[in-house]
Amino acid sequence: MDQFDYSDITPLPLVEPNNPVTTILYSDEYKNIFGHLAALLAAKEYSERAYALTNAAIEQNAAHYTVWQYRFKIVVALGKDLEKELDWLEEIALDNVKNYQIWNYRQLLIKKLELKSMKRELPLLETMLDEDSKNYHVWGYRKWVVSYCGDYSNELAFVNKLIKADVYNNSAWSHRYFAVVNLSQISDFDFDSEVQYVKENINLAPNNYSSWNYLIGIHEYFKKDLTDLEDFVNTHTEDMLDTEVEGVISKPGLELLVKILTLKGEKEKAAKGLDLLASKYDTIRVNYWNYQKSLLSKA
Amino acid sequence: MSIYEKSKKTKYILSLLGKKRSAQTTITSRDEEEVELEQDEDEDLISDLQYELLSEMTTKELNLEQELFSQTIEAQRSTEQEIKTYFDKCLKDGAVPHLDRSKHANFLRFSLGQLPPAFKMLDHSQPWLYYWSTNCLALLGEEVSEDIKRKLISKLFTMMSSDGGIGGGPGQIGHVAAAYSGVLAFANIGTEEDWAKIDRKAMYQWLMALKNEDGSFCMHIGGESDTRAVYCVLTIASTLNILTEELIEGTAEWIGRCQTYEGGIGASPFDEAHGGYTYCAMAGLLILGRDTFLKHINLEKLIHWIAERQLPLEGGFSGRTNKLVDGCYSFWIGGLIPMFDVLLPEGQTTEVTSRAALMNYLLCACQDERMGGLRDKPGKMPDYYHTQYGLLGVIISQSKFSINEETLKKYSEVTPLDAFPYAFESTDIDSSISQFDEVDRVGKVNPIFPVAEGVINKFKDYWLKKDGQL
Ligand SMILES: [Zn+2]
Repeated sequence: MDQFDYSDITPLPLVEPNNPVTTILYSDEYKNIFGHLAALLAAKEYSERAYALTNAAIEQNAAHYTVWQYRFKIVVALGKDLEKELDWLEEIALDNVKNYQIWNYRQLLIKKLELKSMKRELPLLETMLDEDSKNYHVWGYRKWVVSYCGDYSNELAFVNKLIKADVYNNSAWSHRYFAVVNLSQISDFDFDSEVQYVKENINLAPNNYSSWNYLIGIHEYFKKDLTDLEDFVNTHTEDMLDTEVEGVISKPGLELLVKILTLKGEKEKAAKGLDLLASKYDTIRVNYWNYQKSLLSKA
Repeated sequence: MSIYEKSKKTKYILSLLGKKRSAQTTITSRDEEEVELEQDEDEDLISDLQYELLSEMTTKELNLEQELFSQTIEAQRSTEQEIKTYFDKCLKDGAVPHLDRSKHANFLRFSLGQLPPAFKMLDHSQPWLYYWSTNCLALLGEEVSEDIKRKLISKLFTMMSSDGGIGGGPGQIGHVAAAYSGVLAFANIGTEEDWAKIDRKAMYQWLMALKNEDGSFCMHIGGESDTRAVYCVLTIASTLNILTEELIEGTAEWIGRCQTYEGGIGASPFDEAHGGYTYCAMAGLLILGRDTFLKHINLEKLIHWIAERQLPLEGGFSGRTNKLVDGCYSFWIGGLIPMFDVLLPEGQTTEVTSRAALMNYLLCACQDERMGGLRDKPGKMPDYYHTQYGLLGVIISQSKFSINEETLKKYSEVTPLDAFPYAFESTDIDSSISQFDEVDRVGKVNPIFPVAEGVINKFKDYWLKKDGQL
């Protein structure tokens, strides 16, 4: 706060005077920065000194949404170089991995710039997801910026890499679904090779719900018959419905097998699968499987 | 027979014996020693079952292909190991700890005083603190003095923003999460005189200004849009009785678009299914009624995804596929389970998860032994957020919900767009089903607006009367 003169500003109190209930004991520095900031905001001052103050404020508390909103107004009013603002934001982002004000602010800047290119976003997003590969807000931003730019061309290669690093990364599988659905609307989409890719990943980790859920998900989206998967599923469930199988089996595989048997009208076999889930493979959900069984008998 | 089935059997046996779980029901005509003995037996029977469940849980590591080393596996395994040590300790002690009410109350009371500078991280969410502390204390049956209530209300009024909303603190712009918690705090601790001072017209205009063309809402002017914002807006509008056709046009459809191929619901269309957003979406839709909900959500897929969230060893819920257990999902996920009681056709009501396993997680692994409060998981510090949603998880495990058709009819006549959430009724479930001790029973809540049962109806009725609808 040394850069500019704020002596004409009376800082607003951050707390109601003489009311000590649930009161944060702010440091003097915090009080000073945010008190002045609130006063400038109330006066609708969009100036360099206000801009500088938002820097200090974000350093103190990067989740303070009012500061971000104020900063955006200042940036627009002063005609600041928005590309530079994006540079600055990248540094902040790397220091505040869990923060999501950053991503909303970035959206505002990109929209203002009408920047329809993924070029500068890709390395940043890659670094951020490297740091925390299931970061919900980063993935959300990635979806937004991909849709905004209408550029889905990098997505499959990117999720392939993440799935290869951790086949259990459900965020990556969800992103894959987003990419595939959108890609299929703008270009020819090879459903069979996509299914092949998923099957290979299931073979690596037969108990991974992420890949099984995805497999079912794309079948439903592209209106394909789940019963096509019967042979594949059987490779993961052996003939457990006929004989007593010992050892680890694929639980999601067994669930899908039940679904397929139900579709084929083989109720008795399906019921047997549900019994196995309820009594052996997934006892914590005994009520759920019994409920499924009750639906089966009504169907 | 699995332990989950056994708990049902115990309940049956107890009913044959004419016993109730709670110790105080024993008739006093016999001499005290005998009474005590009987209580002990009673308790032993339960704790045997609890013991058995707990030891069964400790063997149920998630099936992951161990040879495929990855971050997910590493994190899952170390969490399981850590939680197992807590369960093992309980097994060794021969008891599941009680809900440490007095420690939790102390922890909560601390937030009513002066908070160290590190709490600046909540500077922009202060109404949440008021809501969590007063709500949890009320649910624990703890008194908050009139003086404190007055002072909190006075502070809330300093957070009314010039844009018409409620901000996270004085001088901040309106934020729907701050307004949501602020409104629930008003309902919890305010008087009719306080309520009369809320500028609902400004609030309504603010909400309309936050609305997007696609039916969704922003968190604040210029802020992000997601299912959380929708739930907050619907709660604010409904409880203040300012919900209109205009406000909700396209909103239910938009929520429906957020359901994913997995069955759960994300922050916005195509986002990953997530526990917190799923609660928001589901509760938001239920504000608009059962039919609206069923029209926009694939219920069977949703139920499956929710059932799948419970982890077999930990007993608690994860918020997403292949993510770790976290105490707050005891409510975000757990709070959805009883809603199926009112969504599924009669006779299909089901408990899709194990209440008893969830209770074990919350009581054995989430209570902070040192300073009180509840936490995400062992190794994490307790905080007010996890205390509230963990405690609500305890309550959910102890309650069964239904819709009082007469109440629904009454509200439908006067407030047809949003009558449904006011007709919820909760009944205590038998403690042997969740295998908890009766002394650990906490108050009742409304599952859509998480405040003590009755609070929100009183608030809504106030506005309905004021608006000449009641
Ligand atoms: Zn949490």
